[in-house]
Amino acid sequence: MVSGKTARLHRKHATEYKITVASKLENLAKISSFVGRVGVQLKLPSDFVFDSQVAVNEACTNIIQHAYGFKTDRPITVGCRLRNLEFIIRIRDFGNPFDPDVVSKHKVEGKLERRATSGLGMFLMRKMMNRVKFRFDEKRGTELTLMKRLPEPEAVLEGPIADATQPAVG
Amino acid sequence: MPHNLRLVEGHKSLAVCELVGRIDALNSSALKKELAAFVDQNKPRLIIQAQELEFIAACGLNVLLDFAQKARSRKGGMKFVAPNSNVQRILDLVMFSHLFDVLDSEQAAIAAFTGPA
Repeated sequence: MVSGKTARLHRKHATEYKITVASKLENLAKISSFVGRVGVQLKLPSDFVFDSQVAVNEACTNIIQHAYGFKTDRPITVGCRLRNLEFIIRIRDFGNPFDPDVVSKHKVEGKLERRATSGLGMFLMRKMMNRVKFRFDEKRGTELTLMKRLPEPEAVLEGPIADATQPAVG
Repeated sequence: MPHNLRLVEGHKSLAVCELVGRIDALNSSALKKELAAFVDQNKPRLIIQAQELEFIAACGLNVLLDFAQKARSRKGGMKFVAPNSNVQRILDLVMFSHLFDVLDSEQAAIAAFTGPA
């Protein structure tokens, strides 16, 4: 169990950052802010970081509401690292295991009157990230791994680019 | 308070809801309560002023969807004004931009609801 005051940010090693907070809705902003700071530290594009923040927020909201049933003194640990071109976020809790397959698939198509509200959080999580994977362990709790791949760096052009509008000299 | 609901002068069924900062599970129920009170009025029409909105979670989107469904059944509606590029991307992803107009200014949204002066 942790209190809000024990929330902390530390570097585990060269490229891994971790925060542990209590399972309060008030801490969702703190977690988002943590992911934002890691993004700045790792020089990730701001829209890439925003998408990651959206996914992490949905995951942590699920933990608080469903895994912990709104108990406010349970731990949520979020760890972020960049491996090659993959931004990997691991989120751990010790609440009730969550079965992603029981969440109804959210359908965004169709008329307003037919739009259901259920499953939108999971929908956003899957859309924002390249991989969403849950792992359950009685002792180690639930670990959710989110992965978002950075775009391949563009080829660097060497030398001046010829101006096609000017006639070639010589 | 991350939202502020105000009526447009001269239009008792037309309101502007300014969303500021972050709408998530902490504050979306307060927004839902306020919008529910507004929807009880006849023909509720809502302009979501999103210029200062930095982040909206699924629960916030669901509050707006719920409002829009109730408003539609009373011949009302909802329009967005000036979301930033990140919020616009979310609106596109959940296809809100197919269901609701996204306009550049509050005046344009008022005109779209009320017709030319």
